Parts: sequence; C-alpha cells; structure tokens
Amino acid sequence: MTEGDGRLLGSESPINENVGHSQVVTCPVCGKEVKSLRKLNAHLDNVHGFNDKHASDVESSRESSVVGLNTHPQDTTLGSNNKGKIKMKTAHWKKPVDGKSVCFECGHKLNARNGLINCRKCGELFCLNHCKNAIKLNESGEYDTTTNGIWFKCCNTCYTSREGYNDFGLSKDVTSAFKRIRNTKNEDGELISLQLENRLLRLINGIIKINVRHQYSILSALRIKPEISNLERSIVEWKDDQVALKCDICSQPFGLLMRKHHCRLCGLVVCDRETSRCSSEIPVLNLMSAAPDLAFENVESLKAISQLSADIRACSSCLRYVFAHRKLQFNKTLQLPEILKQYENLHNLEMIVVNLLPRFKKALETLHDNHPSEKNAVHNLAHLRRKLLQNLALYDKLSKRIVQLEVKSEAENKVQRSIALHASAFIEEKMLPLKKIPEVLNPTTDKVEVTKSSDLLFNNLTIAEVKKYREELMVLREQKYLVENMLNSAAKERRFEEAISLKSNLLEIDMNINDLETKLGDEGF
Amino acid sequence: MLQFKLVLLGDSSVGKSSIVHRFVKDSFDEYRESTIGAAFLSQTIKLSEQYDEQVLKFEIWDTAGQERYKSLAPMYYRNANAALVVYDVTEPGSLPKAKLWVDELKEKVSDDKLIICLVGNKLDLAAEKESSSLVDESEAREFAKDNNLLFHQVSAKTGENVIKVFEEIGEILYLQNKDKIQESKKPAGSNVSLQRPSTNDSQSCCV
Repeated sequence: MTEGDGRLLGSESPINENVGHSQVVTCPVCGKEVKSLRKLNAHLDNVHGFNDKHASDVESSRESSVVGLNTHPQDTTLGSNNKGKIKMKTAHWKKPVDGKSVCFECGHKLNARNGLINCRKCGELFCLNHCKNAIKLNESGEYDTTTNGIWFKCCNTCYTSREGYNDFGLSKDVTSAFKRIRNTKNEDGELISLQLENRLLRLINGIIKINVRHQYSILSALRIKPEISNLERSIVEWKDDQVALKCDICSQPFGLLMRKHHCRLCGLVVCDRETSRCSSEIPVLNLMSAAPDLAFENVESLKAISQLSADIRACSSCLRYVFAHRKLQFNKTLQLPEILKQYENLHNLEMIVVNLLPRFKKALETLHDNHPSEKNAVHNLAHLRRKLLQNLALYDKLSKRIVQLEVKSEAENKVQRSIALHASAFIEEKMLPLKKIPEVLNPTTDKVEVTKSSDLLFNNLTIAEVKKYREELMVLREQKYLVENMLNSAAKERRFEEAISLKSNLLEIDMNINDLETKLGDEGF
Repeated sequence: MLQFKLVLLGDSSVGKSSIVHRFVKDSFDEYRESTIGAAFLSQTIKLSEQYDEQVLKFEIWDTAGQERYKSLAPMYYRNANAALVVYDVTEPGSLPKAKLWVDELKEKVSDDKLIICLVGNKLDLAAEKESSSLVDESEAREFAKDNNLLFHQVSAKTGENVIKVFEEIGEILYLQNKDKIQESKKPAGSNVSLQRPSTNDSQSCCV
C-alpha cells in the first residue's frame, strides 16, 4: 500500500496517524513492513536519512518519538534556535546579593517583584523597568549588528552607547553595501543587454540569410515564414504558453482579448495591449537602423532592402535594455538648439559672477575692518568690482539676446521666458552688493578712486559718470515738465511777464538736455 | 517796472519754500511737501519813500534742497540778481551746507553785483530749544561779514523779518540800478509819439 507515500514523508496530520494505527504499511524504499504510519515515518527518518542528523541518536533511546512532529526534546531543536542564550558567557555578570542588590540605574532594592536582571552587555544588575531594551550581542556579550548577533536584554546605557545610536534609532552607513549591490546590478544589466543584443543580432542575421536564400524563389513567401519561426525558437527557448496565466510584464491575466505573445529576445509571454505596450512588432529594418553599431549581415546582397519585410516581436523590457542607451547616445550627438547653446554661455557667466562675489565681499570686509585708506585693498576691490560689472553687463546683454531669439516651439518659448525671469532676478540680486559700495566706503575720497580707476566701459565715460549724467537728465526732464505746466498756467492766467521768464528757462532746459544727451550718446535712455 | 531774478538755495527742509510762500502769499503750511525741481513764483514790492516808492518785481526760483536736484541749481543762479542762502537755526548741520552754497556761488557766478543773503530760518523754534542744539548765531554773522553777505534771521511761520529781507535786497538792487532807472524813466514819461510808422513797403499787405 503506497498511495500515501508522498504525503507520509512530510506530513504530520493527525488523520494520517489515525489511519496508520490500524494498518500495516511497507517502506517504499526497502520494503520492510512497519506497523503504523508513525513508525514508518520514524523508520524513514532514521534508516534512510530523510530527517536531520540529530534523528539518529533519538532512535535508540525512544522508539515512539517522532522527529518530524515538533515534540523534540529541548537539547536539540530548541537548543539550536537559542544557541546564544545558552552559550552566553556569564563571567561578567554581577552576582546578586540577597536583599542588598540595588538597581544600577534607579537604586531600588531588587527582589522577585521588580525583577533582578543582569544587563547582558555590561553585566550590572537592574530592575525590570531599566533593563527593557533589546540589542544584538554575540556570545561574549559584545555588540554584534551582523546576522550572527542574537537579541538580548540590556540596560539603557548600553542601549544608547552603542555605535551609531541617535534619538531616532540606530543609523548605519550602508553606502558601500549599496554601491556594491548597485555595481553588481549594473553589471547584470550590462550582461543582460549584451545577451539580448547577441540574440537580436543572430535573429536578424538569420532572417536576412533566409531572405537571401529565397530571394529568387517563387514560393519564397511560403517558405520563409516557417523557417523564420524555426529560427526564432532556436534563438531563445519560449516559455510554455500553458503555464502563462498572466502577462509577465503588466501582470494582467490573459483572456480572449488579452492574447499571448512571445518576446523573440527573452522568450517571456507578454500581452500586446495598446495601452501598456508590453510588446510590439517592430520591422527588422527599424531595429537595424536603431542599432547601427551591431554587426549585421551585409544587406547589399539582398535584392532590395525593402524586401526585408519581416517583423520581430520584442517586449518593452528587452527593448529598453537594448535601445535605451543607444537613444541617449543619439540624443547627445544631436545639435543643441540655439537657445540652449546661448544658455550654456549664460550659465558660465553666472558661475563666474557667483564665484567672484564672495571674493568681492571678502575684499570689502577687509577694507572695512582695516584702514579704509589702504591703497592696495582699494585697488583690489576696484579691480574685482570692475570685473563683476563687466561680467554682469555681458550677462545682461546675453540674456537680452536670448530673449530676442525666435522660438520654434511652445517648449522653447517656455524655456525662454524662464531664462528671462531668472536672468533679471539674478542681476538684481547680484547688483545689490555692488550698489552698496559707496555707503560702505568712505563716501568722499575712496568712492572717487574706485570709480576713477574702474575701466572705461561706456562711451569714454566711467560708470559713475554715466550714472550721474543719467540722473541729471532725469531731473532735467522732470523740471522741463514742471516748467511747461507753469508756463501753461501762466499763459492761461495772462501773466505774460512770467510766461516770458518761464519760456526762456524752458529754452535753457532744452539746451541742457541736448548737451547731456550728446554726452551720453548710446548710453542714454 | 523793474524785474529781478532771485534764487533760493540751501539744504533740504530748512524752509526755503516756506519763506517764499510767506513772502508771496503771506501764508504758512505746517506740512509742506518737499519741492520737486524748482518752483517759480513772482511778487512785487513797493519800496519806501526813501527809494522813490519804486515798485520792483521779484521773479523767484525756489529750488529743491534735495541732493538729487542739485544739478538744477546752476541754471537758476547763473543769471540771478540775488540769492537767498537759507539754513535752519535749529539744525546745526545746515549751516555748513549753506556755506558750501555760498562758496559755490562765489566761484561760479562771475557777476560781482550778485547779492547774497544768508538767512537763518525757523527762529520761532529757537526759543523752545536749548541753545546748545542751535546754530551759533555769531558764527553765522561772522561768516556773513567775512564774505560780504547780508544776514538775517527770520521765521516763515510767524512772518518775522521775512519781508524785511526782500525789502533790503530790493533797496540794494534799486541803488545798483538807479542810473538805469532814471534814464529809462525820462523818455517814457515826457513824450508820446503819435506818428504812425510808414507802411510804404512792399512787404506789408495793408496799403
């Protein structure tokens, strides 16, 4: 009677036991007759070694004991689980003295009620309340955070003083472990992609060969199909259709509308839904042009490339493995749009300014701390300031040029707008410390020197002069407006004498405005 | 009627506009806004009998004291006949600024007939304050004397001395221009030409 054999080996169900009591069973291995299932189990375990090694010494002592039923005496099974607890060395444990021992932390007398525990780490005696924490230790009571460590109770001090402890728990630096895992994963990925490329290459070359062989045959269409499908199966073993109940990528169950397809590169069964695109049929020619670096068979031997009309079905994951990095490489070689090229320059300028500013501030501080009339410091400061101003002027120019570029798409338009926004904010922010300089420096002497020594940037005028002239021009234009109003009201009220004076003044203002405008030239408004 | 151009200079908020308004409109505004650019006002005064009751007209340019408008001032003091350089007697910082203005006037204006009058304003406030926080009157007077300036302390609020300043300037101007005045008076007062000018030229349309 062997019907129950398969189950007997591992099963401990009481039903089997009951059945076994009434019948005689034979051992499936040696044919020996045993009185019950229980005994057969024991026999199999002991004689034929179906159980662990401890079983053998049990047999002699207790015939009825069943190893598989978890009733094994403590010294073997439990012992292996709690190995650390038993083997823990207790040399460092403090011996309790009846009625005298006190908790190392709270100082209460220790007795049976509040507990009497040695901290497994430091060995001091504690009450239950102050030895609650669990940490991993090795046999000799040292910290052990690896998997070999076993959980032990310990006091608060030992709990908080271990390495890496903080208020939120234990922090462990796992960067190196992560790096290792990442590297192996990367290597795996590369291997997979190499393998897939290899398969793709063989597949395509095979298809080309088949096409070449049959290119002059009338029945080519009939013959090529089965040959290709044979080739496909020889490249990679296809997963069994019957086992596949759901798509290997999107995990949707297959059905009438969810047809099964095999990926020709990995052999997995995937769906072909429009929405998930788990797999798709791609013309061979497209695949070849997408991966031009692979060594495909010389296509010229084919009558016409257009004859190569075969498709290859591949799943999305394989496509990603093979083509993602190629697409990236391809995109990298594409020329940047004009706006991005310009932005790169702009960005470089920005970096220069950002790097210069701290130096400028530092120079300003030293000048402020030390004697302000120190020639060298002033010169240095002026030099830095000039440099900054030049760069900012360039930055401004460049950002304006970017804004004026013609955009080809909505996306570029967006980029352009944000560049403009960013640039104006940047200039405003970075110009602020430069504007402050006259206040910081001695306003009468040093300021003059700083501006005088700065390069001639605009129209043979220093920046300070341009600023001054612009200011004057603005004031003059305000005044002109005022005088014009006064003149109007004077004429209206028939105060002609006043009107004459005002008119002459207006002429004078106009003359001054003209003067300033010619002086400023391009730098006017 | 004689016209004279007069300009007011001085640090901001010393009361230049208030003095002018007291003189021109005889009014005072506790919360006057600061002047933008330069304001133009005119006023006529009649001198006393001593000066032939001569009527003078002042065209006054009241400049703004703020630093921003400093560049406007030269345009107005260049052809001026008189300049009032105003400081605030309760604000010691304003006198040095006034001195700077005087120096600038002496340097830039070639006309040696230019009358400069140093005016300390806000005299009414001086009574309330401790003398230590006031401008030293003697210092101002000394400076005025050294530079050959007229000197007055006024209060635009109460009107004290304001008219007097302008009258004194007017008197000096009258004395300076006395000869001219009398010359111009003579022909104007004696004959009136009734002869109509000839229209016998081809340019004119009415024959």
